[in-house]
Parts: sequence; C-alpha cells; structure tokens
Amino acid sequence: MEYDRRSLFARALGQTKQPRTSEDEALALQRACEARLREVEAMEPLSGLELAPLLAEHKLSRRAFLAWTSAMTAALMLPPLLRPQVAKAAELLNRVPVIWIEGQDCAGNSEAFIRSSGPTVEELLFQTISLEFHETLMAAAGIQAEQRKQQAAQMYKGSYVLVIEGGIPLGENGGYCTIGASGQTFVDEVRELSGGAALVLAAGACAFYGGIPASNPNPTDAVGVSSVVSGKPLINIPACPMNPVNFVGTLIHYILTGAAPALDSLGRPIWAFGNLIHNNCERRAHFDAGEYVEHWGDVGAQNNFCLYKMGCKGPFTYNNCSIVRYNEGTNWPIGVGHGCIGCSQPQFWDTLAYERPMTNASIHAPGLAGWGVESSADKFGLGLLAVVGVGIVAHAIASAAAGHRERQTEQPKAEVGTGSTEDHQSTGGEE
Amino acid sequence: MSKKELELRPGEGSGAGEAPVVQVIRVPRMTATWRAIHWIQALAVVVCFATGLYIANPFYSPNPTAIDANTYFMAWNRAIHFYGALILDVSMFLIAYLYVFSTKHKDITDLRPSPENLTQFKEALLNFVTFNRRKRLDTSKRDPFLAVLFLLFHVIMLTQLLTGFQLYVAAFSANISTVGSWWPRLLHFVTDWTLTVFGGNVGVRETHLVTAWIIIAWAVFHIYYEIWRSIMWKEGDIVISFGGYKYVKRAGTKHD
Repeated sequence: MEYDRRSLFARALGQTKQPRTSEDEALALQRACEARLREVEAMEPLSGLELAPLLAEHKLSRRAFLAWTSAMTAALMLPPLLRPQVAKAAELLNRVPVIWIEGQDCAGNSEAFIRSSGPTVEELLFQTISLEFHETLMAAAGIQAEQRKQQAAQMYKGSYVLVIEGGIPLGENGGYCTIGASGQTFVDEVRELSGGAALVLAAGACAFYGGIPASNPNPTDAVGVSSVVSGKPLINIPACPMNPVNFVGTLIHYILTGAAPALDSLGRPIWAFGNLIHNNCERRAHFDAGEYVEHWGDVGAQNNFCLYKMGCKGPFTYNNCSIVRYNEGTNWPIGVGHGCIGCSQPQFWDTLAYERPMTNASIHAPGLAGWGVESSADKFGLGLLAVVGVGIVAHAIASAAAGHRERQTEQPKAEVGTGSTEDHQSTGGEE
Repeated sequence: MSKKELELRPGEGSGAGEAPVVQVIRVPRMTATWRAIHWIQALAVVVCFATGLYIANPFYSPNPTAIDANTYFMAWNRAIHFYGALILDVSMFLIAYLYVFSTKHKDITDLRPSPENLTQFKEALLNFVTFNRRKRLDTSKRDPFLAVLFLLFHVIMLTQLLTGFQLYVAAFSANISTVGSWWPRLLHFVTDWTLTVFGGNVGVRETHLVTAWIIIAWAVFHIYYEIWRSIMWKEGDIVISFGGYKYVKRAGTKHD
C-alpha cells in the first residue's frame, strides 16, 4: 500500500513526464488537473444550478467557501497549490449526472447531507450536482419516477455516476427488497444501472458489505455492492452514515482527475481511509497515559479521558472522522463522549459495536459454531489453562499411582540404556 | 556399588571383564548460548503476556482524580510489549539459524522422520501416557517427543509474530516510520495475508489474543513435562536449562 502523492495520483500524473522533485510533481499534477477541468468545463451544465449564486443565496461568504476549499484540498492529500483547481472542480460538479438508488437502508447517508444544522458547502454542492434520480428527494413517484430513472440511464449511458445506498439482499432471489411499481428486485436494479455507469460509489456501511441488514443472522442474505458489481470502477465510502466530506471529496477527485482515487485493499479511498481514527484522536494522549473512562459519567468521563475501556474501536478503524469530523467539523462521536463503534469497518455491527474492550465482549458473531468472533479471548484462554491444569493434575496423580504400584510389585523396569555408550554423546533432542 | 560421575567422550566404552558399577553419566544437552536464549525467551514471553493483557484491557489505572499526564502506563506497556516481542522474534530467527546451520547446538535432523526418530518419538509418547510404566526409550538420547513439541511451539510463535506485526503495522500512518518507509512496507508485504486468512484486523487481533493464551498453556505443559521427567526418570532433566547437562545412571564398568 502506497500513500505518497505520486502513487495517490498516479493516473493523473501518468499523462505527463515523470516529475523529478515534489515541486515538479505538484506542478505536473496541477497541469494534468487543469487539462481535465477544461474538458469537464466544455461539457454542458446539467442541473441548471451554479454554485456561486447558491452560496450567495445561503449567505455563505467567499471566505467560507475558500476555507472549505483549503480543507478539502488538504483532506484529498493534494498540494496546497491545487486549491484553485479544487474550487473550480466544485463549481463544475453540476456537469456530472448522478443516479442515486437505495436498497436495504435507513436513508441515513442521504440524510447526512440534508439534515445538517445549516446549509453546508457539501449540502449546496449536493444540490448543484445533476441528481437525476433519488427516491427520497425527488418529487416524482411511482411509474413516473421509474420512467425518469430509465430516461436518465439511457441519456447518460456510460457517463453517469451511480451511487448505491443500502445493502443488497440476495435471499429469495432478491425478493426481500423490490423497488417501485414494477417490483423489480434491488439486486437486478443494481446490475442494470451499474452496467451503464462510469463510476459506482457505494455510499455507507450497508452498501460497503451489507451493513446492519447483513449483521448476524443476516436473514435476507444481504451483501455489499462489491459482491454484485464487477468490471466497473467501484469506490466504497463506508461509515454509518458516510461523511459528506468523503463523498463530495471523491466526486471532486473524479472531476479533477477523471479517475477513481487510489484505494485500499477494501476499496476505500486512501485519502479518507488511510489512517486509524486512533492515530489522530484528540483523546490519544489519555490512551497513552493509561487514563480511561471506567463508567459513564465518572471522573474520567468528565475529564475527557480515553474511551478505550468503554469499547472505543478507534484503534481498529480506518477513517478520517478524527480529522474532518461531522457537520462541517462541528463534532464527532468521540468528541461528544462515546467511543467509536468502527462503522467504516466490515461487519462492524457484529465484531466492533459493543461498549467493552474486545477481550471483555462475548457477543456471538456468525460462524465458528456460535463461539463468536470476540467471545472473549480471555475466557477461552482461562478455559484452555483449566483444561491443561486438570490434565496435568490427572496425569501427575496417575504417574504417582503407577510409581507406587511399581514399588509395591517390586518389579523395576530395567529397559533403560539399550543403546551403546557411544551414542550418549548425542547433543540432540531438546532440554 | 560405587558411583562415578563422568562425561562421555566418543569412543568411550566398557572394558571387558571388569566389575559392574552404576555410573552417573553427564550428558550434554544445552550449550550456554542455547540456555541464554531459552531464558531470554522465557522472560520475554512472560513480559509480553503481562503487558499484552494490559494492552488488550487496561486493568489498572492511575488515580483518576489526580490527573497526571506523565504516567504513560499504556505507552510504557506497549513499548515493553514491542521490545519483548522484538527480542522474541530475533531470538526465534537466531534459533532457526543455529538449528539449521550449527552443528554445535541442536540438530535439524532431530526432526527428520527416520525410523530411529519415529521409534524414539513413539516410545517417549508411550512413556508419558503410560505414566512411565513403559520405558523403552533411551533417555540419554534426544527426546523427539520434546523436539516435536518445540516445533509446535515455534509454529505457534510464528503465528504470534505474524499477527503481532500486522497489528503493529496497522497503526503506521502513510507508511511513515522513524527508520524509513522500507520497514512498514516490509511488514505489509510479509503480514498482509493474515488479514485474509484470519478475517480482517478484528480476526487478526482475536487470533493474537487467543494465541497468547495457547503459548502460556504450552509453557505450563512444558514446565510440567520437565518436572515430570525429572521425578520419574530421576536423571535431573530440570537442571538442563540451568547447567546444560542431564545425569544418566548407567550400568557400566569399574575403571579405577
């Protein structure tokens, strides 16, 4: 796994000569992005909404937008030089046709955008993108809505971004989740629409691997997008809900470079999911100091101590919440005093979301004959030691009894030393 | 009958026609290097286990009302855990090297499934499970049962090493390390497959915790087996790890 800029933006840089220094690299990247932005600018604005008037309408100052631009540039791991290009890419988001479909979910990822305290830059950007279809937000319903979806899929075939929110049930031939008046199964809808997409985004934990619907015992056989879609660039943007920054950032990256960002082994953008939450946590010093919250509301909790003993899974979880936070950087779970539940990790509901350290948890998880993935390693270990201990005691008693019998019968075994003395030089064997 | 303590040398044997005596033969088993590695590893295992228990679930805390940023309990525990683990890992590689390439210490041929080794293994196992009633093995020779037990131990330790390094490298940010990016890259290259095999970083962590207990259970059995051998065989097996020799009684001949 590479994290340096050259590998993060290899595709964008690939069009230019190999730069020699990091300064050359930044300039080369800037040139590549500018060329791509010119292409995008030549495309027709689809949504009919421009960002600048929207910002003015919602009294978001130029300064606020520039602050957002700097933050996004940094979040995307771009050199500061590229801030103007990021701002330009934000303006050009209205060129991208987006089809957003939902399966087994709570619409939490959509809500993460639209239920913020005030209109955030992300929310306004979400308005400017050409959202061709979104069940929760569109005015049309029923057959008209479906017709709109088909029209959009035809019209922008090969160029639209398909956003999939929610798990995909495969049980009963996908019959646990049907969409719209025609009763098409969600799995069929995903297959059909992903065929014509330029890019597929799996938004949230449910689209990532099945999420809450896929948790034990997974009655609907729910899976994530990666289990259904193949042969298309797929980007997972997990978390419950996904951070709007990570969604918009991925779109900005797509506008800037025309390609998917560098991904980790689980298909998540490295720029957002390359670090453990724990590494940049504001309570990290308390972790190292051994200062932990022991009970809700205790002295440790009042002093913002580390939440590790309350089951915080920051040390297990890759995401950027500890840096970008939620709702325009207002706060995040650990900031308000609850541990991380690992929602951007696979199977988080079964394996991470409990308010205890892993060795103290005995929640049953799928497989392993009901043993549970985290059914307390310590319990297992003490059980193992008990078995070994009982075996040792039994063996020792039996040995003593056998020796006692031997002495009583006065029949000493004299089978020792059958080899010749030369062999005794051997240094083989163990101690 | 007189007793004599002597160390056997090659070619030494019994002379014909001499009176039988019971000799106590000093059989070399562990070189000084080997003993040093043994106790370093034993200490490292205990240290890693104790600190590991704390890291998994911190069971003691400084007084929460006296907020003192200088305690660094977890940082110290983690540091000692890492140092202990690195000492274990390096000594493991050293042992592997000596086992294969050194003729002075232990011999890799102990593990060869030759007829002689298989017979010794079977007899050693039968000796143990029959509570020393069947004793047809030559106790002055190598004990392949123990050799196999140690092979198992090294497989367990390798699991612990690989899962441990995976957990360690998981916390590196952006492949940055104080010794250079080659180190996290090497660790990723060597250990990333454990994520697939054990089921993501949760599975790797769980495996690491469970394996720690298996190591302790193994150590308990090891100590018991040594004590048992010492008591049942009466050949001082327990002192091998201290002095390097065991003492085998032999019906020999009178030399003096």
